[in-house]
Amino acid sequence: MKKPRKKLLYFFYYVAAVILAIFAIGPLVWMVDTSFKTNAEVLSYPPKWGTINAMPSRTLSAEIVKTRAGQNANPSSLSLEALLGSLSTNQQTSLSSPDTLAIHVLGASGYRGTGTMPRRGILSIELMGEDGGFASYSTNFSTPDFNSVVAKISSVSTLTDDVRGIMNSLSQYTSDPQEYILNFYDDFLYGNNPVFARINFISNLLNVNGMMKFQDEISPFKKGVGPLSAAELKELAGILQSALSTASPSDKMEIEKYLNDIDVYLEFNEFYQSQKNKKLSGPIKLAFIPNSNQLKIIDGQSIVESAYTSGDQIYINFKNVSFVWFLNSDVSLTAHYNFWEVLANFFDNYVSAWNSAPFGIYYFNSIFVAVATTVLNIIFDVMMAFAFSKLTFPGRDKIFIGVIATMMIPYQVLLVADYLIIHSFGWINTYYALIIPWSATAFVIFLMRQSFNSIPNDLYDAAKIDGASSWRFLWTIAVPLSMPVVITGALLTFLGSWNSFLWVLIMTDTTNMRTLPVGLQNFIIDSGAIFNQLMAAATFTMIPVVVAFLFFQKYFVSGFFRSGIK
Amino acid sequence: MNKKRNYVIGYLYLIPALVIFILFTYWPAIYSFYLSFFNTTTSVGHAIFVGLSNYAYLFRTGEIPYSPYMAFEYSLIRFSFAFIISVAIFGWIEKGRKISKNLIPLLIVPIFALIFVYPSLSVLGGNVYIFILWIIIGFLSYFFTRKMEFYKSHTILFLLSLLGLYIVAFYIGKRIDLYLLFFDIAQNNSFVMSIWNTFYFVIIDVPLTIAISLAAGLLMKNLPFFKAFFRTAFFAPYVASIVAVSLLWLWMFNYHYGILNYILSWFGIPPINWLNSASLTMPTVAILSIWEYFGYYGLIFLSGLQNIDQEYYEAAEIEGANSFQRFVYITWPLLSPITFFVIVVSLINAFQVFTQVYVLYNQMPGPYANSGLTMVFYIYNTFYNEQQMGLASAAAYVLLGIIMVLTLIQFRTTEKRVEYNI
Amino acid sequence: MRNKLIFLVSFALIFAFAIPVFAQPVVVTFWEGMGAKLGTTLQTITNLFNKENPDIQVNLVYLGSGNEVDSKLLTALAANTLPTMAQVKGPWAAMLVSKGVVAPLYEFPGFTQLASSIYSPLLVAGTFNGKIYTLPFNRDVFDLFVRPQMFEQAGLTYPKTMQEMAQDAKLLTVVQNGKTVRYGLGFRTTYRQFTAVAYQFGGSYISPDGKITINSPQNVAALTFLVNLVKEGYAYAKFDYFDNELTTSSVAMLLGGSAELTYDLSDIAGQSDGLVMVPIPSDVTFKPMLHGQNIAIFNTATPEQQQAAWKYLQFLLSPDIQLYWAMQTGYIPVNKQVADLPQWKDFVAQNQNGIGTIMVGLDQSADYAPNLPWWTDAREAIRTAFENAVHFTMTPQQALDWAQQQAEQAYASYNAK
Repeated sequence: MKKPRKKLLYFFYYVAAVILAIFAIGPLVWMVDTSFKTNAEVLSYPPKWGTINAMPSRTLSAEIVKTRAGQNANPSSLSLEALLGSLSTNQQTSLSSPDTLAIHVLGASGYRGTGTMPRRGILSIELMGEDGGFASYSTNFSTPDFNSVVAKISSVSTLTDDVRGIMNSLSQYTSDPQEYILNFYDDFLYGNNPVFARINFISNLLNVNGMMKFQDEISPFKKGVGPLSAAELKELAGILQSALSTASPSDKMEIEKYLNDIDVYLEFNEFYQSQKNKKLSGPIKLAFIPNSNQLKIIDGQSIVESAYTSGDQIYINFKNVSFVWFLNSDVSLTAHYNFWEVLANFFDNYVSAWNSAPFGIYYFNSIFVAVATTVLNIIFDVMMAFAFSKLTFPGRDKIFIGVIATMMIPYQVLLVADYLIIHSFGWINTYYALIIPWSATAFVIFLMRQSFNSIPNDLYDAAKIDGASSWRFLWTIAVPLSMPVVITGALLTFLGSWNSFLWVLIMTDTTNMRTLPVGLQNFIIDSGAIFNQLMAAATFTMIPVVVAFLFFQKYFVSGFFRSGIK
Repeated sequence: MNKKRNYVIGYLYLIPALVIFILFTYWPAIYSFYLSFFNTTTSVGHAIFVGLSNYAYLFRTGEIPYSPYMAFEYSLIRFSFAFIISVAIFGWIEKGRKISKNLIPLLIVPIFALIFVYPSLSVLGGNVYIFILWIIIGFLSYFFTRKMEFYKSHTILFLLSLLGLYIVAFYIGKRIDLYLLFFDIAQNNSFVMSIWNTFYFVIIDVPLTIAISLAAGLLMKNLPFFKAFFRTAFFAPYVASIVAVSLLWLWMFNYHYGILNYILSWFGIPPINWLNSASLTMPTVAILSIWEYFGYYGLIFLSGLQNIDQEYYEAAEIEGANSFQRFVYITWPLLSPITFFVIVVSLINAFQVFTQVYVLYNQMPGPYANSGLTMVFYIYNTFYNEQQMGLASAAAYVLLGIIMVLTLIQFRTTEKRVEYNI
Repeated sequence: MRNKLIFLVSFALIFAFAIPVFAQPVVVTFWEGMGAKLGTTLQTITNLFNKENPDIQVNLVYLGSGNEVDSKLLTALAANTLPTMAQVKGPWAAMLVSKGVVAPLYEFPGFTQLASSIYSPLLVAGTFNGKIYTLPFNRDVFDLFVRPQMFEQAGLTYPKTMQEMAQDAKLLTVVQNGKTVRYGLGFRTTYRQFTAVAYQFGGSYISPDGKITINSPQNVAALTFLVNLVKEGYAYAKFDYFDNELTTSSVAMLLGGSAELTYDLSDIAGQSDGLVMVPIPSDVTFKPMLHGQNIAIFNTATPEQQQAAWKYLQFLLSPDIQLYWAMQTGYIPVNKQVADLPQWKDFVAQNQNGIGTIMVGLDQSADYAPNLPWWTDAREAIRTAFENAVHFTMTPQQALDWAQQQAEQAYASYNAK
């Protein structure tokens, strides 16, 4: 009868204990888990355990830079010296040749401008055509065909003013097909104010007399992403055709202009697509070279000459093939890693967090200050506690009460006066300010006195008779006997010093005097609200104290019991 | 001669630690007090004696709808009403248990009180006679009942009854009260606001911390296996620095990606905007503080539990007491010194709340409306950002005063029940 | 022979001692609050300066972001331990000037030439009693950030006026199952964000004749406008940064400073459905709000240090360095010549985030705060009023009346001192 009840009771105890334990260490586990994640994983909902940082490959999202402007090197990616050089020679920087394809890796620039592309592993770049297979390009470009199609579209005269202007400016490139193609697409689709920019083109169309009655059919084209696609333009052309048949003669002219705009584009686009005769047989594979922005070609599909990265862009130089054939392609990017690279990825957040703030200095300061404080504390507190416990002198107990009473004064109350006193010593921004005021702790003195009290006075008397001085007795007998309490005291003061925040914030000015908590707080402000690096930083600030605690916890716990707070 | 030499040795042992205490605790305590009477905006060297005006500035009332005296009057009447009725109720309970000599006043006083209740509570305002009358009745009832044991041994129950009756009285009467006035003042006076916020935090934080850490202590004692594991697990949060754990909770409290809102979504609870709501500021900070400290206090409770003699339990088991009875009649009373110690320490600790707010709210005192402005935050701001050393010292002394008063009340109320041996 | 030897030895000795004496560089301490990438950029520039000027050693002392530099300057002022130079905000500089510790820049050689190359509205924050004490350094302008894909999908163009912005905010708000999953507009409840909007309603804080006009009808109109957007559920307001709302695409427009583009918004700006900066909409005359800090040199330093600091400041504000600084940080290139450099034009053309917007309307721009030593208190009051109004604990009129009253008190107590 009694036994099962007891079992049930223990079952409830364990359920309660497990719930409490999850409450206690769950957040810490979550912290460590987060610290290994990538930015994208941190910012995903619902949250997941695990990270692709431990995976041997990953997909990156990327897009091909399609505008003319993107073909010039961005001055902001230059170093200061290089920029000044280009300023003094008055030359614009053109990093890339006309045969360079630029691929913009999305989300590769880290947060708050400090991150870069994942610069390790092998990149596998798949250029995809519109049909879903690999992209095609032209190996035997037909100049006569080009000339005839250019002649054909140049002869169309009823065009909107915009397009007529474009056609006029394009005529300067008729001898250079590549430039022509590039500028053509720049002006019509991808450039700064392209003709087929969705909202503008549709709005202009609706402003044409006689088109308002087609509003219901045309307006839906306003919604969508990017410029109007070829299929959409064909559809629009159909609508315009039917509009043309019902329009009054005066409106006809205007509608025809738009229709011709579309036709010119479609005509040329068809020519461009028809020229592609060779398909890529697989992905282009490039490998990162450490400390260099050049990429090693693993598999160039026999068209890649060289490749390099700059900022969050990858530049690929082709030989014998123009990059314009890939203008309309989609790109998908996969990175592959070997074991060591996976390891490097896995600890990436730790490395970048460590490097993005002077954590080395903070660490040294924290360790130095905490160890010095602890050592002084042990010496001073043991001495005082021993005097309170085993020595006799007038006013002993009164002084003891006076010391214990300081436990009730929060140090923040004394902050102002302490600051002024330390300032008058000239200790602001020195280690003294962080160590000396904390080198005696009332609570530890209290614990130690309790422990010394439990050592029989006879032992002390016997030692005295043997001729041992009180000093010798203290360090050779009393302290070893109360080791757990001494270790407890040491751990408490070490913890207190290691975790001290407000004091350090106020008593120090500069980075080279600050300790981990203040350094961590600065890092929080600097790095913003994406949490993987922050959690990595939080984790490595905890490691020494956690290790110390695990190592000493046996003493620590028994120290608490021995102290006999009753 | 030898004795004198021993004395000198004794003092020599004290010197290093004592010098530090004098330099960085006693002297600053005196110096702060001194500074709190000076205006130091220009620089500390050119401080101007301003008397009590720093304190006056801290408690400036601004525009208020009625005078503090009036609010005090109303509050006091409500309090004495609640007190008299509570005493009467408890007196009747005690009467039911044993015959009391004070039966007659116990009957008279509440009847007398009730006759006056309604009219005075709803109409009264500045009527000195009724005011005095209420105080006299209050004293009388206290005097007649002070020998009663029952309500003294059920402090919490008594306090709850006081609070309940106070609220009832509040809803009967006019909306004039010290509590409301305090809140009105807090709208224009950030120091009063900081007192309010700090108390709010303490009221949430301390009882919950004590309840959870007591549970942790009991579990650590009673579990047959894996004791060490649970001990380490419970204590782990305390080891980490407050900045690091505040950062961790900043992440957990995140509105969009935080794991807390995700866990709540399992139970169909919509996401809570933990960090961007003035009313949730202090509860949020309290959750974090409870998590951080419960293992530490749990360990202290455990050490107390270990020191309770096993014989009591064995005896109780023979008597056939169940585990709940054993807790109520053995553990709780014998643990009271530790409980007292933990209450005092956690109270002092809770009044110092600062770093959590500083990290969670991006160095701001809460998301808006100063909802996270605690007293230490106020001191920090006045001292560090505004360099008003005198004002900051005065605020610090108010904080010290509050802590001292609360600790003294603790000492007085538990004196008789706790054997605190130093 | 012996004479010669003595001569040689003494010559060598003098030389040996003289070199370190002459080579001892002048040390300039510069207190700054430029974190993360801003900090490394400044360090790169400073390293170059130190290399080019071996007789000067500029030491950057990073004091942490936010208000740390201000607090430390105040402490240092009391303790008489000011650095050679520091970054300061307008009202803070006014306070320091009133204490007489700021070296008047207009007395340094070559000042007129340098000042004339800087956009004149940017000089206002450093001008006290008609004289220029500090020069602008890291200055940004408040703009509107929009998510281009959301606008495309909704078929909308970027707003030009406040009414258009309200209209767009309404159209871009998405409600699913009674819960708002996307807000049209997001803004932080800070002093700056309110001021930036108030300027576009024609508001100001100090009238031309020197009166405090925090509760002017224009300011109330601006506050009412924002509060109504929140009330109707088209805008989301909070004190904190908007990183998460951007990554979850739960806001379509955001008010903010241009420097945020390379700093806390850079992760969003790098995405395909990124972020484009457009001028803040305006109902009256477009008046962009400037924000950021100036550089002050302190007269507590030795004359040599002051001269060296001045040389460094000239270097920082030269067109070439400003070009680099602006491209890396998103701050305004304060030197007018930068706008004409081909590299700058190339940069603006290539940048898809509309970085060129920072130069729009610079001539009509105004500072975020008047140069008044007591403005810090008024600023706090305006922020509190803004918070209270946005969280509906006060009406816009009440809130600004309260702020007006607080500012008047701050002014009175400053005058009493």
